Order: sequence, then C-alpha cells, then structure tokens
Amino acid sequence: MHPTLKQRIFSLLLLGWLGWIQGDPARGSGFDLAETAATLRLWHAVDGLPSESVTAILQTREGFLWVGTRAGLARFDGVKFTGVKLLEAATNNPVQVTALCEGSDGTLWIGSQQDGLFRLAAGKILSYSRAQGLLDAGVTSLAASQNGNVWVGTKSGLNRWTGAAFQAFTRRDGLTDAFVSGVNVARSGTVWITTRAGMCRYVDGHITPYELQTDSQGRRPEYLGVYEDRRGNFWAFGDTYLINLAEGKRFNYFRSSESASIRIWSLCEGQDGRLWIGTSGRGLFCFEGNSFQPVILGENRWSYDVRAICEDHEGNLWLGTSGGGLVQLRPQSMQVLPAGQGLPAEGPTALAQDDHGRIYVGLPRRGLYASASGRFDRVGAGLTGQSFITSVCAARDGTVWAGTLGDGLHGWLDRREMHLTTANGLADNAVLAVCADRQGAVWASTRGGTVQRFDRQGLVGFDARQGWPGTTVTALLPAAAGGVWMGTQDGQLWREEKGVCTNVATTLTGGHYPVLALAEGKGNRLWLGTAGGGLAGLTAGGMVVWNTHNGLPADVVAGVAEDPARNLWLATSAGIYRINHNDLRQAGEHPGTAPAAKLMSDARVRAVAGDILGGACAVLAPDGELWFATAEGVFNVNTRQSEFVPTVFPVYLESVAANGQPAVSLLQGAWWSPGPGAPARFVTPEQINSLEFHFTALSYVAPEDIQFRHKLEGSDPDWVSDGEARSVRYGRVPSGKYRLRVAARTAGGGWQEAGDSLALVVPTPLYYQTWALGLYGLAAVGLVAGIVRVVSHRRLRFTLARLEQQQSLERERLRIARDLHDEMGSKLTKISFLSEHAQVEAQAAGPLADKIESIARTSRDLLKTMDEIVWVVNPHNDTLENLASYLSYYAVEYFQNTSLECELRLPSEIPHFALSSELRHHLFLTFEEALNNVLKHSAATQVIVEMKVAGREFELSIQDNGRGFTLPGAAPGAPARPGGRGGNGLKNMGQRLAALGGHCRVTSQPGAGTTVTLQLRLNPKP
Amino acid sequence: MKKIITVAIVDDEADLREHIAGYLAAAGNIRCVSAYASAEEALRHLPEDKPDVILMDINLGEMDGIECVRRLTVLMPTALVLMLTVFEDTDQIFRALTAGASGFLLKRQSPKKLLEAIEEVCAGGSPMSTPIARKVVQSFKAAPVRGDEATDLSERERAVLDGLAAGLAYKQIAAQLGISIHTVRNYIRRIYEKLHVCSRTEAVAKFLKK
Repeated sequence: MHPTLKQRIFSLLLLGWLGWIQGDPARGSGFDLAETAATLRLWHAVDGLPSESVTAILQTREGFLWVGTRAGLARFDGVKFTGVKLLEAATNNPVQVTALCEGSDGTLWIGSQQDGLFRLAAGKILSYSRAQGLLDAGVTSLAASQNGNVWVGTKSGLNRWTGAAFQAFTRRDGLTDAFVSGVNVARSGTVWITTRAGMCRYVDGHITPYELQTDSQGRRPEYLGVYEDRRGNFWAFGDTYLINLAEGKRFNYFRSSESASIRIWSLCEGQDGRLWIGTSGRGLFCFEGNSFQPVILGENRWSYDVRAICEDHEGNLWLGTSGGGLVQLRPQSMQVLPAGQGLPAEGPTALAQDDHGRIYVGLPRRGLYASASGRFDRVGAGLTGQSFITSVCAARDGTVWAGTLGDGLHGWLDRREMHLTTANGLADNAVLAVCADRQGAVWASTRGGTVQRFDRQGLVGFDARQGWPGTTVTALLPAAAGGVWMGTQDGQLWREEKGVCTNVATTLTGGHYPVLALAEGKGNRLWLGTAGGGLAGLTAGGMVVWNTHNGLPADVVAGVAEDPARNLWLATSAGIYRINHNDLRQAGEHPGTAPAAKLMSDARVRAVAGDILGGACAVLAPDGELWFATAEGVFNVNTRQSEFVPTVFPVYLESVAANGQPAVSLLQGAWWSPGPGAPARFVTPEQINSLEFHFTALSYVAPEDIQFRHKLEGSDPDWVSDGEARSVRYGRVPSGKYRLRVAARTAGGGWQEAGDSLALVVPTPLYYQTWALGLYGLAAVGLVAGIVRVVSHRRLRFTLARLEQQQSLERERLRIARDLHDEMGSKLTKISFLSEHAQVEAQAAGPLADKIESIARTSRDLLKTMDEIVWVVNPHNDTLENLASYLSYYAVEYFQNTSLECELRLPSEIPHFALSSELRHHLFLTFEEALNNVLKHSAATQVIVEMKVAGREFELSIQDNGRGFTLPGAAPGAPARPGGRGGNGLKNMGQRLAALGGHCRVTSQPGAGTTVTLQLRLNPKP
Repeated sequence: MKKIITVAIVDDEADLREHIAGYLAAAGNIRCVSAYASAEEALRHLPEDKPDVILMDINLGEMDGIECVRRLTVLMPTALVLMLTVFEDTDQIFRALTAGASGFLLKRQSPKKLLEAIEEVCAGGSPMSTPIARKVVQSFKAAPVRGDEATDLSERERAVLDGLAAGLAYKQIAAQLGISIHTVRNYIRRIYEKLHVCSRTEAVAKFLKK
C-alpha cells in the first residue's frame, strides 16, 4: 500500500453542535466523545485519483465504488483506482463527470459536462449524444426510476430513456426553464425536476410547476435539487436555502445574507436515518433529531466544498470535494478509549454514572476519574495512589463514593472530601461493593460479610435481626421497585426492602460462584453475572443459567447491561459479547441453551473465576451509550450506531495479463449483469513466460487488511496465500487446462471465494509436443519414484538433489516436508499411540501383546526415519549451523539406551555457510555409517563427536575408544576389521566425501580405537 | 499422597486427545481436566480451567500452538506448557520455548515418557539439548543487553549455556565449573525463565499496544 496513505490516516472526532456558528462554545458539552468518533481517510491524485475535484460518487450493487471527477471516471476497490476510459483517444481533454446513477437493470449511467451521456453495460461503454436524441451534450443530473426509465437533466431540457430511445421534455412541455439543475425520482414515482428558475413535478405524464417560496433574501436563489428521505420528507435545496416540503419548514440555518452563500451541493441519507448535507464553503452537516450539526473534523472544520456524498453498503460515508480529493468517514461505534483523553493507560476496576450522565472511572491504584467536556479528569486528591479502588457509585445528592481495599470509603461533593473508615463507624476498611439507593442512602459491603447503609442521619448495619446471615456481599444494586439487591460470594441473591433482608434465589447450578454483576433488565428480569458460573437471568417464572456448558462463551461475567434496543451486553473474561434481543426473547423456548452471543470486542474484564471484587463493569448511560471496564481500558459503545463487521463481501477476479501484454479485464462476465454470468474463459498465447492475475475484494472498512489466497488448479496442489497482495504472477506455465480460484477474508472472517473462477487454457504448440511429452514422462516417472521413495527409501534424496536446479524445487521441498510432517507424521503418531494404548489394555504377555509391541516399535522407527527425511528435505536446514545441530542431536539420540557414552565437542559459534541438500544428505549418510560402525563393531565405551570450522574448512570427526583394527595396507598380522560390511563401509564413506570434493580419513590401530575424520571445503556464502 | 497434577490437552486430533487423556487417567496422580481442539478455544477457556500443565500440539489449525502459548503466557503466567511435536524441528521447538513453553516432547516417544515429562516439568526441571542450547545462545547474543537482572544472563548461566552449546553433558559442565549437577539444572531452569521473561515482556508490550 502507498506509504503516505497510512500516514494520512488519522483519527478525529466529529463533535456535534459545537457552537462556532452560534458563538456559544459551552453549549452541548454533553459527553458524546466517542459516539461520533470516526476515522477519516483521504485519497488524492497521488493515490491514483484522476482529479482532486470529485463530483459524483456511487456504489453499484456489485460493490464497486465509482468516483466521477473533473478528469474522468474511476472504479475504486478501497486500494486502487482503475480509470475507466469513456472516450476513445480522439480527444486529449478528459471527460468531466457530473452525475452517476445505476439503472434498474444494473447498468451504470455517466453524465458529463460537455461530452454527452455514457452507459456502462456488460463491461462495454456506450455513448449517447444529440444524434441519439439527447437534448444537450451537457448533462447536469441523472435519476433512475423503478420501471427502468432513466431521467437525464441537461442544460437544454429533460430527457427520459425508456430502454430504447430518448424522450424529450422542454419548456413547451411545462418545464419552468430549459436548464435542468436537478432531477429526482421519489419513492411514490413522482419525478421532481429542478430547473434554474424553479421546480416542477412529473406526474401521470404531465409536468406541472411547483410553487416554492424560498424566502431567500437579496438576489434570486439558485434552485438545485430535491431529495426524498425515508421518512417521507421532501427536501428542496439550492444556494441559500434548504426546505422541508413535507412540513413546509424552512431551515434558516442555511439562510445567508453574506455574499458568499451556503450552497447546498448534495444530500445523502444514511442507513441509520441521519441526513448528510454537503455544502460549498461550509463543509459537511448532519441532520439528526430535527437539528443540524456541522461536522467538525478534528480541530479544523471541513473547509472544502462537499460536492458529492455517498454511503456505501458497509456504512462508510464517502465525500467528494472540490480540490480536496476523496474522503472516507468511517463511523466507529466501539472502541477502547484512546490515550490522550485524560485516562491513564490502565484497566479500570469500576464504573459509575451520576444523574447528569457523567461517567466515573475507578482505576485500581490511580484514583478516580470523571468525564467532562470530552475528556477525563482526576477527582479527589485525598485518595492516595496506593488505594486500590474496588467500586464506585454516585449518590443522589451528587456525592461520588469510591470503595477501596484497606482505605475505607472516600466521598466527594463539589470540592468537599469525606473519608469513612473504621474510625468513624465503617465495619471494615476493605470495601468490596458500594451503591446508592433511590432514597439517597449509600450502601457499602465490607470484608467479613457486613453490609452497612448510611445517609445524613447516620450509619446502620444489618444483622440477623433484619434477616441478614452475614455472608460476604460482592455486588450491590438499587432495585427499581425500592430496596437493594445483594449478590453474595457464594452465589446467592438477597433483597433488602424496608429494612428486612430476604433470600430471593439460592445458588446457581454447578457451583457457588461469587456474584460480580447485577442488572435489572426489561420484563422484570434480573441479570446476575458471576465469577465462574456464567450468567443467570431471574424472572418471576424462574431462573435460567447460561455458561460455557450450555453455550455461553465465558464463565466470568463481570458486567451486564441492556441497551435501549434491549440487546444484552456482557463484559466477560473472553471479551465483550452481545446477545440480540430477539434471541433473548426466544431463549425462553430453550431454557437449557444459551442464546447466540456475538463477540463485539476482544477486550476482556480483569476479573477471573472466583473473584470477589464486584465493582460495576458495565454502565448504560441515558444517551444510549454503554461503558465497560476492561483490562485494556475503558471501552465505549455507541449503541445507536450500527456496528459493522464485514465478513461477507464480493470477491472478483479483475484481470489477467500474459507475457507482459496489456491486462485483459475479466469483469465483463461476473460484473455488470445481475446474477452469475458465464464463467470467464481465457485462452493464452502458446508459450507462456509470465502470467499475471489481479483480483480484488470489495469491503471498504479496512481494505488493506483483507487477506487473499488463490489456487491455480492444474498447477497448485493447494491454496497459496497471497497475504494482502491483490495480484499473483506465475512464470513459465506449461500448456494445459487450468482454473484460477481466488478467495479473500477479513480479520476474523471466513474465506469468501470469488463467485466466478477463471478457466484458463494454455494451448500446446505442435512443435513442442514430442519434447513436452518426453518431459511429462520424465516428470511423471520422477514424481512416482519420488512418492515411493519418500515413503519407503532414502534414495529420494538423490532424486531431489538432481532436481535442485529447478526453480520451484525449494517450494516443493518445503511442501513435501510439511506434508510428510503434518499428514504422515500425525497418522503415524496415532498408530504409535494407539498401539501403545492397546498394549496397556492387552496387559498379559501373550502373543497379541508381542505383536502390538512390534507395531508400536515399527511405527516409532518409521517416525524416526521420516524425521530424517523431513530434515533433509526441508530447505530451512540448508545451513552448516543446522547441520551441526542435527548431527549432534542425532548422535546423542543414536547412542541413547546403549552402553556407549557420547560426547560432543562443538565450536561455540559456527559461521554461516549455505549447504546444498545434496551435501547435507551425503554428509549425514557418511556420519550415520560412521556411528553405525562404532556401535556395531568397535566394542567401544565412549565416542567423541567433534566438529571444527577453520575458514572454509569443515572437519567432522568420530573418535571411539574401541578395539580398533588394522587398516588395509598396514602391517599384516593385525586383526582385520570384523564384519564384511566394514571394508565396504569405509570405501563408501571415502567415495561419498570424494564426490563432495572432500576426504574421509580413517586412523585406527588394534586396541587403540578408531577415528574417522571427514574433511570438506565449503563454498563461501552465496 | 502426591499432589494431583491437573493437565489440559490442546490438539486438533480428536483420537489423540482421547488417548492421551485416557493414558493420563490411568496414571493416578495426573488428572486431565480439559481438552481443546483449537488454540482459540484453548485461549478462551484455559485461564478458567487453570490446569497445572498444558500439553500443546505445535501444529493446530488457524492459530498454531506457538502463538497460543505466546498469548497464554500473558493470560496465565504461571502455566507450564509442554509442546507436543511429531518431529524434532529445532526451529519450531525453540520458538515455542521462547514463546513461553517449558519443554517439549516428541509424539513418537512412548507415552511413558509423557508421564515422566509432566512430572519433570512440574518438579521444575526441563532438560536442554545441545541444539536448543545453541539456539538459546544465538538468541541471547542477538538480544540487546538490557542491563536488567531479570532478562540478562549471569556469568555462570552463560558458562553453563556455552557448555551445553558446545555439546558437553551436564556432569561435564558440573565438573568444569566445580558445581553439582543439581546446580547445573538450577542454572538451566533460570535460563529458561529468562528466555520466557524476555518473550513475555515483548508479548505484554504487544498486547498493550493493541
């Protein structure tokens, strides 16, 4: 990806209703910090955008984003702009795009400033001008209707495309002016036409004028367009005015007496019902809750003209600016609060909110923080850094109380501080939970099972007289119906009402886990989150318990909250989950199974199973925001904004290029005609030296994080990962039939495969055929031999060594190593394990047990042999250091469980030398032979394996203290090396080393042991 | 009576999981508390299962066993992880060790070895082979000197490690340095710990950055 692009990604805040227009900065200081947090990204000409002036943006149903600019049209996939050539090279001037629309048949219509109208269908560009009945080559606006018509506003009247021809409407037909500035098809089918002089409607075949008082001061306003939103509001807009026609309401906000008017360029309605308004000079506005908010991006308001707005299918907002390029605004509805907003980078233990919606955050040893004007500030200097805050609550009178472990209760009201400890009546200084009830009293539970209530009148404790058993209370919650809910360390739920404590529910199934969280839900349901027992939901009808045994993803639930849409949010040890309200409602039908919980964030709570610190970890603010205390920090969710985690999105094969020729687009078939097209088929030239494929996936949330993989069937045995690359290049591809498949996925999503694969034919050239056949024959023989040998025989190494020159060998070796390792290795392991297990069960030493023992031994031996093969085959081992490591490992294991003692002597550092697998193979075999001789023939008790490296010289010696022998050619009479194999073995070793350009020296004398020294000159680093 | 050792298994082969569990069950003082087929599942549940020892296959599905260990060390810093691997692949084993594993076991070794290894690792000892020692030497050489006692090797530890890397046996090292084999083992354990501390610091830093 473009390096500068990432630099230009920066997070910023859209702060609502900041008063730069009213000159009242104090207004709206409500904490909507993260609710509109968004990520902004910019694309400029250097990124491939045809021009800095973007005039039209549209996402078509296939998922591509089309960007019309003053210098042509481009297709955008989130990473790369692909220019679309509208005119043949006749003119040098690029086409100035003015409007885009998608016809009901899925074709793309493109209006231009002076080059007429274009239509993109099935990958082909069609061009329309006066010759076809278009009234003017200058197109101002486009609108498609459900019945297949496309309305074209031009500088000289209105056209309607009926599927075969253009119908014309001019002033004679009732247009208020020939210059059409906007055309819009309303849901009802009414066509709204805005001309420079006024507005009119097309209903039932007739154009009728629509009287509109814009109330604009000074000069006559310019009428620009009409938009119908989902609520049925008709918005008429121009320079100096925006009017809701349905309510007849004019928004003075946009009235301007200044000479530089606020011209409204574009309107776009988001999926969440918010209306976005692009203006000239004043940037972007958002209409929500019957008021307009200028969108402030970071410190600076947006100063560019916003010419075009488009919301894509994933909820990203795209802005086209005059001179500022293309802008993407990605709403973020969930986030761990970033550093720099006043909070230390530490996981909080408790949260609370007061009646004003202010959020309080208790950090274990960092004190208490309160939200104000978009950031957090420390409150309460009296709390030392050493106090471990366990819980926080805000009382009715505005006092905020924090319970600590060992330092009692701290309270703050305005600037006054209070400190409650055992000295003034608190039962214990270790406070586990606090809450404020609806009467204004504060409740505190302390270590040792005491619960105390205090208000201005004083402090009251609870004991057996009130029915309180003295169990440790880990969670407190004021009940909506009066009184207080108490959750205990052993999983019980108690209720205090009018001074009397009663047990409401005893224990959760499967153990007595501390209650960490209490929340009252809709429908008189009480939720209990526990430290280890999952979640319990209590209603008058009974109790449901969900935990990992019946489908809940976690057993530690430290925070529970229902959002305004009645979805249930859980802060757990496995992350933050949401249970959909529908699933929740239906959960009653299968009480034994937890409803599906969707992972919203990996942020985990600090609590672990058995924890007894029950500070509230989840808070629902009155504005619909959720706050969670997690180990990673304060996590904020704006439940009003729809979160979008794209896991399903279209994947396309874009183009193929053979031998460096211009790329051939593959999009015609799949794209631009609804429904799956005919599978693309591509016949290449006869000889392929290079083949390059481009592909794309259309998700704009984090396009550069999308992972791709491909598989060229007929060449690749398995999927090949491309990482984030959107293309792949093959070198020489032999003739034959292939099929290219491509798949992509976002982080955490599954693989999405392109709907259409590409059938690829590389023809066989005649004069190559015999030659090619020979090659295939050779390859086939080699392959068959290879497979047989890999499994059964070590001589495969020779074959591999011979094949080494080939370019793809390394990859192939890696694959073979991996396959042997993963596939055969695990199966053999299983056999080994099964037989071992069977042996235990067979018990008796019968013939069966012997056989099983034999199976176990054989499979273990086989694994060992394969271990060697894997080692040789794996190209990662092609260094001297790895060879030395392996040989020493091998020697130690070889002499394990024998009477021989093996000693290694290695240099502490071995310089880097690349070794071919052939060399490794021969050295290894020679080494093994030498070890074998020691074990079989030497009768030694000790063997020393020594390696030395001096410059390029490598020396490996195997020295034993055995009986030795007379070397051939030495004095007669001494005992010859016993065993027929001995002499041959020595000869073999000599030949092997000679083949590598080294030697093998053997020194031995009867009774004085044997030393085999292998010497080799290594090639310098490649 | 000996303390019961609780064990969890993470392996994507269902049969193997069962057989290991069955084998462990027969051992008496070892109890298999949970078994998971994937790293993701393991990460979700192991911190709550709190087993003493985790047997972790290196080759898992999506997330491999090494990455799983790396994350587990943050979630449960005291857990002992034994890697299970089909083949002796020094690179992989070393990566697992630096990620926080306490030892490894070749699957082809007989299941009896499994029991020994579990007890050995619980007792605090985890043998270090020459190839692994050589890797450790390289890793400490590559790492910057932090000037921190918790992560830098002491002179003695370095001597033990160098001995191991040069192929010396424990008793040879003991003789050379004039210490007991038991002390050599202690040094080796500390080297492992420092290896883990380094990687854990990195893992934690990585976690915090996220």
